[in-house]
Amino acid sequence: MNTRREHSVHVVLLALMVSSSALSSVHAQDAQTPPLAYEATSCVMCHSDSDPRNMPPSAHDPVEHFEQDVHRAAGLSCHDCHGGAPEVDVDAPDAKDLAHAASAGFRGRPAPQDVPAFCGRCHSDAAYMSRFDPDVRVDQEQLYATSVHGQKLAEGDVKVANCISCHGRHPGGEMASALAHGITAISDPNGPVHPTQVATTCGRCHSDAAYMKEYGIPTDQQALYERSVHHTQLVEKEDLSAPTCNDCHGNHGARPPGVADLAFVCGTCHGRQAELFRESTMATVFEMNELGECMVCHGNHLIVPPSDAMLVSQGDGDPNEVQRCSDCHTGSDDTGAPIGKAMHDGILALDDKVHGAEEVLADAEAKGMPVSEAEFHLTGATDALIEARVAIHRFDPALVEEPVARGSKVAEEAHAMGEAAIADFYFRHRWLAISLVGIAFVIVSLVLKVRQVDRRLEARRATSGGRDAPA
Amino acid sequence: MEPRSSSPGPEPDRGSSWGARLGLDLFKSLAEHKTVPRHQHTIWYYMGGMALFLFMVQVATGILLLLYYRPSSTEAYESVQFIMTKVSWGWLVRSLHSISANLLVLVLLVHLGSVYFLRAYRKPREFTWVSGIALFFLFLGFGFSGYLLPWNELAYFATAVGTDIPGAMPGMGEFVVRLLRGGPDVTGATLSRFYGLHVAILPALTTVVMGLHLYQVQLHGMSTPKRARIKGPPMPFVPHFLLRDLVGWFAILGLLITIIVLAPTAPKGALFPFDFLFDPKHLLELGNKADPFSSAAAGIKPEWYFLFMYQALKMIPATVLGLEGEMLGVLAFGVGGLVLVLVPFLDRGASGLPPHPLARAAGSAIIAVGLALAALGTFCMVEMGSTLGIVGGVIAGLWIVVSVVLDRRRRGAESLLFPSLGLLTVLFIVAMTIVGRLS
Amino acid sequence: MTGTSQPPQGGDTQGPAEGPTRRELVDYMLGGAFVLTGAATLYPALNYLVPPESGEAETSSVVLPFSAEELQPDSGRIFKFGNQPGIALKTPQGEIRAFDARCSHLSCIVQYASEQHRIMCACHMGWYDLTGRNVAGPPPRPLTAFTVNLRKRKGSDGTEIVVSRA
Repeated sequence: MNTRREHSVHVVLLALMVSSSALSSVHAQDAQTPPLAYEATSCVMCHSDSDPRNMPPSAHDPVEHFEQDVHRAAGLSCHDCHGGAPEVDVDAPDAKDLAHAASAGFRGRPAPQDVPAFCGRCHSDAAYMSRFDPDVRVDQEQLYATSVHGQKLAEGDVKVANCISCHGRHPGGEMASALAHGITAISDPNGPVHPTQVATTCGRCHSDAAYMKEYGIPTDQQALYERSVHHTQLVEKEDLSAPTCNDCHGNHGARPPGVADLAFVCGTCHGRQAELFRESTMATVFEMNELGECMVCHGNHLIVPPSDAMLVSQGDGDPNEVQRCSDCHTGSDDTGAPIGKAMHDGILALDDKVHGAEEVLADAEAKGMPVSEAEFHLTGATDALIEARVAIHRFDPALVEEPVARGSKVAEEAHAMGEAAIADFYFRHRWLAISLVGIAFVIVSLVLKVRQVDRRLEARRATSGGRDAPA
Repeated sequence: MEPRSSSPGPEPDRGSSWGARLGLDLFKSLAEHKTVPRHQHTIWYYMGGMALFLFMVQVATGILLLLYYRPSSTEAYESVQFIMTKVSWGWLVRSLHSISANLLVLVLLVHLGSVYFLRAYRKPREFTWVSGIALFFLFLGFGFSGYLLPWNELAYFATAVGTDIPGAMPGMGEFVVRLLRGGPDVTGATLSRFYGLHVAILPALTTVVMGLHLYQVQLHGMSTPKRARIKGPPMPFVPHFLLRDLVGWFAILGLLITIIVLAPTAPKGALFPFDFLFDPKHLLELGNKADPFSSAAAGIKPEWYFLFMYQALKMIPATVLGLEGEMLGVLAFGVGGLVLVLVPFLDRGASGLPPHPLARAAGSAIIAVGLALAALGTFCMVEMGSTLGIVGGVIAGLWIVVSVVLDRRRRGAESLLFPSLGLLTVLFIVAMTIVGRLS
Repeated sequence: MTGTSQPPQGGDTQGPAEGPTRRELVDYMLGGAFVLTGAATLYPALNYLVPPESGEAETSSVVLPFSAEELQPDSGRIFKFGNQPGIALKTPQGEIRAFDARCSHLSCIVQYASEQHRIMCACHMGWYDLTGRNVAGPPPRPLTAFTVNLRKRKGSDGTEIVVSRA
């Protein structure tokens, strides 16, 4: 995962450097000679739409697509990859032969087997690459050779992925005709190697049952992954730190992680869980039985959000479904089942208390009572709940009990605060009712008094013969 | 009194002695002599007293709030939150202060309207009117400055918009804006300034002007409308009118606490018409703390009594006859305010005649258009809605003009006041309902 | 006129239709009503004057409940800042810093990891260095830093830590 982030940083840096200076674009070019403008190369002059010769439209494709390419943005020209002579007189009758002469180092279009070396000519050259980014990695070609893809390619299987299969743009999704001239930066959200696109990119081959037939491996990984919590986190919640294919399988050195490595792979993010698991007795048992550590319970591609019920229930036999505690811990004399149940009951009790407190606080808030302080207090309980759920990975109920007890206390306090707020709400209503009765009493008294003084005034006026009130 | 008390004795009557020493005898005699005329419009006389009561509530709760409130941009919001949540009965004190402020403006508007329509401002009460209008403006100032003090999001942006309005004044606009805000923008400096205005400058001015106003009222007594149907001899102010006043005060106190307690959970419209006027639920909720660097929150609205101005300035075209529209709007409101002050001097019609129909029509039309604009502002209306609101306002205005013309043939022009106000209310409600559906 | 002394207003004579009991009743009612009003007004007002236990409103700065001396070098403590958790730490060199304790990943509360001299979020193993910068694991952003000021506490040897939002 780190690798990916570093990469995107590098590409950004690279773009910045390129845009800020007229960087020399030619690989072997002397820094003293002024760089040849891309548009002025004889390559572009012939391979473009404005070309007067009758070249087939497909010959124009590279130039057309290269406009969007990250290499173009870095100031590279055709001959930087393909070699040849970029400054021939295009009107000469033998212009093509001159430009494409082997003596000028023309390399043309590489065969699939040659692609890694073709890209690696620059990308494995630390001295050259450091011009664009002093921190850039140059081990991709080397890593690729160790990968299943690289090994198969070396054996002559051209169906496997090479550099451009993943990094090239794929108009219309035709995988065989991956276009190498629209390579995007890793940070480009629409590019095929952006974290959100990686599963689709890998899936273009790996989900194609017909294409993958001869390799005898499943083709449902993408479909399963897209139902997983990691995919939800990555795509729906736009959390780019959530893993996609390459975060577990590596990218250039792509190979499936072994059974024993699994806890380490998952542990890069789920560190505490992996740590606890390795400390537990279960780790030894799993190792003896060659069971994939995390995978047994959580699956691999389809990793659904875990539930507390996994501690006590059995799976429904779906092969894609994961194992639950009770799938293995069967029998009345099994000691594991009660442990699972103890941890489950503790967590469930805390969960209930947290939910109960949340409901009370929501109720208080709906009644217009400010409860932000209680809500803050409750985060202590939700944190403890997360902690308890992590703590189960050592399968020691004592380790779960501590956060459960702490969280329960906090949740109960928050609950009490919420109830106090609701009680205050009803107190205000009772206060209002009593006050209104009091006010009504005052008003009645006043009205009675008004009538009394009015009557007296009238009586006085009647006796004093219409004179005004006495001075 | 009997001669007994006038003879020089070693122990003169305690009450009169203390009264004499403290100078209370003057008030006693004033109270004894003050009378209130009785006719079909006597009810409007209670408005002034009611405003006085609400003002007293303001003073009392305002002083209490001062004990916990902190006037700085870093602490104001938190201190108001503290008052609302931690201080015992703090919720009541702060709610009373903000809700009664709104009721006060409402009562002042009714008071002003009744004096206008009954032409109580005519000679010799011109200065009662002028001081009253000055008080009205002072209370608007109280409302405007007080709105900012909790330093919450809505108030912040409403103040930013409100203090920007004088910027359209020709020549000195920018200076006035700087003067109001204590800087080019609404910041903590504005808060300090508004706080000083709210708790020192305005109260001092109000004390003086209110003294003047009450003195004028005392001096000239209550004005009897020329065409009033007298219902008997005037009643003494003490106790007959005062007791009746108290009934009103307690009634409005009951209304106040009912709004305060029920508003947070009342469904929309249940506290009609207050829901629509000043949205007590919204008013009592603090919302988010103001953040000068956040983008303006949705639903920014000034207080309801500034809505007509806010909406009018929003609707005025950018340029009118080659002049800047907003500047014209501001000028128009300035002139409008001046006309309001000068009403007693403009209306020089012989005081024996019935109210001038044109003056009445103008007053009614102002109310109608003001209500329509306020309705628009309340609902943040889209184009169709604003057309509806304008049409409603214009129809109401026209209806009033027509009925005034028709009314001239009949006698008892005052009888028009209630039906026209009633009709306006109906129109207002209808417009609100339509608009509420639309939005 | 020498009317009875009971009516407070004007020396009028007793109305012919009213017996003294009835008049007195109304006066008692009214008097009671006013006493009631006074009590009902004074009770909340006087209670309002009593300062609540929490003393003062929480604001944009907070004095930590522990002193600079109590905070051991190479350790950190969680404190409450308004309605949010904060973490105050003392670097091995003895400098005191404070951050928003909510991890920038999924808002778990971070902790000080003495062994690594870093701030750690246990939820997904996020790591921050002692300047709050995210250095490893999922966190996408650094921790929000607070401003720390130290001041001598009156009448004791301790040094107060005052944390405010930057």
